[in-house]
Amino acid sequence: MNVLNVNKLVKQFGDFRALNEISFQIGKGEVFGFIGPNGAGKTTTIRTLLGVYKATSGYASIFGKDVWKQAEEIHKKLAYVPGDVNLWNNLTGGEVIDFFLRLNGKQNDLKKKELIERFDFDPKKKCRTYSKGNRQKVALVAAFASDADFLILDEPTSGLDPLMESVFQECVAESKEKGKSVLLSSHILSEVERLCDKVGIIKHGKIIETGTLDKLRHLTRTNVEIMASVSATQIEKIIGVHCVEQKDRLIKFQVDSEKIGEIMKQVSAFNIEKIEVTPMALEDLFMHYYNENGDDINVKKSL
Amino acid sequence: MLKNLFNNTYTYIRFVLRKERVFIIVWLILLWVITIGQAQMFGDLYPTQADRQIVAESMSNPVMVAMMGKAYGKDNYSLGALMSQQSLLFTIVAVAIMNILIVNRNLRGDEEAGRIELIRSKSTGRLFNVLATTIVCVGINILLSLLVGLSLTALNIESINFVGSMMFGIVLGISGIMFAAITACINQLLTNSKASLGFSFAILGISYFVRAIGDIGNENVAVLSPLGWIMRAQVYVENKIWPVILSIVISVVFILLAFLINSKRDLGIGLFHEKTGRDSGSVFLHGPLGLVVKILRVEYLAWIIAYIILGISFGAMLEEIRTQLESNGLMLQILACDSNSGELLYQFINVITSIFAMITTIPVITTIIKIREEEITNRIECLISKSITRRKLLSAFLICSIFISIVLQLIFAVSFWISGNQVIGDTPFELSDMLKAACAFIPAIWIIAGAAIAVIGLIPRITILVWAFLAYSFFVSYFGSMLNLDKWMMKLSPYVNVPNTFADGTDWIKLVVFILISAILTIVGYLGYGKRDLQA
Repeated sequence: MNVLNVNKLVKQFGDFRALNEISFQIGKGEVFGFIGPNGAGKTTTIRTLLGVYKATSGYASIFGKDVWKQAEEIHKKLAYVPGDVNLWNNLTGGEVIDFFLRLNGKQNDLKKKELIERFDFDPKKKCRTYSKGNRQKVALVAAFASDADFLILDEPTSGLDPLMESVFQECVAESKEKGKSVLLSSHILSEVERLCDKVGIIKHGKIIETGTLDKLRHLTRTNVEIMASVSATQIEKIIGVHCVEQKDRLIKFQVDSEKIGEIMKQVSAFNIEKIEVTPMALEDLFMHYYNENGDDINVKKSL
Repeated sequence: MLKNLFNNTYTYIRFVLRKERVFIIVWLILLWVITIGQAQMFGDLYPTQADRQIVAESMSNPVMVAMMGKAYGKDNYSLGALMSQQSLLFTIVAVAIMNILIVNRNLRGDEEAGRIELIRSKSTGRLFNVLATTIVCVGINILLSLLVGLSLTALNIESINFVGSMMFGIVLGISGIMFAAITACINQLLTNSKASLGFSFAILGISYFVRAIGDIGNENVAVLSPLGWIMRAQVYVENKIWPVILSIVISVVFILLAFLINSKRDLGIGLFHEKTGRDSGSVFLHGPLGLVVKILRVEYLAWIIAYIILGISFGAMLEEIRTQLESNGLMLQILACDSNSGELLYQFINVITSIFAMITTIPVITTIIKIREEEITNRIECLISKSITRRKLLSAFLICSIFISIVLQLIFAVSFWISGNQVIGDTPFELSDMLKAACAFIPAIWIIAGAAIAVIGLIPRITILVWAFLAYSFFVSYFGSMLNLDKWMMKLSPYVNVPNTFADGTDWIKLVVFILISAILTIVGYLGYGKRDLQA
C-alpha cells in the first residue's frame, strides 16, 4: 500500500488555480523528490497534504487516511520541516524540540541529544537569537528524532552549510533504511539526485513528469564528446544525433539515449583519440522542464 | 562625521511618509473629526450657561475627575472649559497611541524584521532611522496641532477662542511628541518589538492612572505623570504655558537619549542582551496548553501585579471619594438618596468596576489574537503538522483567556476591597458584594472574547475590528449619557447592559443570556476556523 496517494488534487484560491489535478504516489521506504520552479505549487501541495489548506476537489491520503478529515491520526506518525522556519522567540531551541517531540507522544532523549550534536548547535539559546540555519536545524532535529513513518521536508537545507547538508543526507539515508518514506521538496538538484528514488516535477500547478531518475534520463539524451578524425558535418549526418558543436578538435553532440548503441557503432569507425560519454546533467534536464519553451531538447513522453 | 551618522535621512523620510501615508492620513482625519465634532456637539448639548453649570457640578465628582481630569474654570464654566475637561484627556491618549504605534513600528519593528539592516547596507548614516522617525513624528504632531487649533477657532463658537484653541492643539501635539520620544527610547533598550510596544503602552497606562489618583487626591502625585502635568495647562481657562515647556524639555531629553543609545549599541539588539535558557522542555511544556501558557506567562504576571496595585490604590481613595460625593449636593439630589446611605458610594464602585472590566478585556483579546499571530508567522504549520486538531489549539488560547478574565476581575475585587474596607469605616462594604459586582461583568467580557473568536474563525483579515468594538464600548460608557446617545447605540456595548449588583441585585437571566451569546459566537468561530485555509 502506498504511503501517500494523491489523486487529481485541485486547489483554487478565488480565480487562481494553484493546483490543477495533480496526481502522484509515494511507496513505503521511498524517497520522493518534489521539484519545480518557484511558484509552481510545491508548498501549496504540501500545505494541502498537511491539512492546512482544504482541497477544492480531488483526494489525497496518507497511510490510507484522508488528509483533511483524519489529519490528527495521520500526524501522529508524520514529521514536517517547513521551508521558512519561524519559532517562538522566547523559547530555547531545546524547549521547542522537546515540545514538538512530546506533541507526537514519544520522546527519544538519546536520539535527540545525538542529533543536536551531529547538527552542532546550542539548544540553550533562545530562538530569537538563532540564525536562519540554526532555526532549520531545530526543525530538522525535531523531525529526525521523532518516530515518524513519513517525513515531509520543504527545502529543509536551504540555509545549511555543506557540512550540515551532508549530515542531513546521512539522516535521510538512515530513515530510508528503517523503512520510512520521505517527500523532499528541494531546489538543490545534487541533493535530489543523491537521495531520491523517484522524482516528480511540478510546474504551473500541474505534474508534468514523474518517474525514477533513470527513467527520466532514459527519456532524454546522452552527451558525447569526442576527438577523432572526423568532421562535424559527418557527425551531423548520423540519425539520432543533435546539437553538434565543434571547438577546435573537440566535437560535442547529443544522442537520443535509445539510439546510443547504433550511434556508437558508427562513431567507433572513426579513429577516436578521446571519447567522453555522460548522461544528461540533471540541471540541464530540469532546466528544460523549468523553461517556458522546451524545444531545444527533445524529450519524449512515454508510459 | 555628520554624514556618517545621518546620510540619506531625507530620502528615508520621504520613504517613511510614503509607506505610512494611509496610517497618517486616517489617524489625522479621525482625530480632527473627533475634536471638531465634539466641539459642535457640546455646543448643541449645553447651549446656555445654566446648562453648563449643572455639568460643572456633576463633573466635579471623583468618578469624572478620575476618568477625565479635573474641571477647571468651574465658576464660569464656559464651553471651552467644558470641552477641555471632557474631551482633551482622551484625545491626548488617542494621540499618544498613534505616536506609540508609528514609532514602534518604524524603529524596533523594522529593525527586528531586518529591514533596517538592508537599508544600512546602502549608503545611509548610522542614525538615519531615529532621525527620520523623529522628524516625521514631530511633523505629524505639529500638523495635528495646527489643524485642530485653527479649525476650532474657525468654528467661531463663543469661548472657543483663538488662544485656547491653539493651546488645545499644542497640548495634543506636544503630548504626542512626548510619548513618541519615550517610545523611541524604549525601542533602544529592548530587543523585541512586541515587548517594547507593550512596555510603551504600559507607560501610557501608568501615566493615566497616576494622574487619576493624583487628580482625585493629591496634587503632587498628579504632576508626576506626563498626562497629569499637561492637563494642568488648563486649556481654555488659564492656558498656562509651563506644562508645555516642561513637555518640550522632557521630549528633547528623551529624544537625545534615544539618539545616544542608538549610536552606542549594535544594530538588531537592544541594550539588554538576551540570556540563555533551558536546554530541554520543562515538564509543563506539554501539549498546546503548555506552549500557550509559556508564551503568556510574563504578560499575565505583569497584568496581575498591575491589578493588585491599582485595586489597592483605588480602594484607598474610597474615603476621600465618599466625602466629596456626599458634599456634592447635586449628586445627592439627582440620586434621591441621603448622604448617609452608601448608595452614592456603591454607584462609584460599580462605575470603577465596569472600567476595570473593560481593561480586563484587553489581555483577553490579546490572548485570543495570538492564534492569529501563529498563522501570520506560519508557525501554525509546525503545530498543525503534529497530532493536534485545530479545535485543541484554539481551545488552548480560549482557556487561557477565560482564566485571565476571571483571575483579573477577582484580583481587582479583592485588592479593592482590602484597602477600601479599611478606610471606609462604618458604611457596610462586604467582600461578597464586591465579588458579585466584579463577576457580573465577566460574561460581558466573554461576549467580546466570543466576538474575537468568531472574527478569527470567519474573516481573520479584519481581526483588528475587535479592538474597534472594544474602543466603541469604552467610548459609549464614557460619553454615552453625556452626548445623549440613543439607547440602542449604548446597548450595543455589553458592559452597559451589565446589571448594577449593588442597586438592583443579580439579574441571573441577563447573565445567562450573555453567556449564551458568547457561547454562540465562540461556536461559530470554532466552526469557521475548522473549515478555512490557514494562511496569513
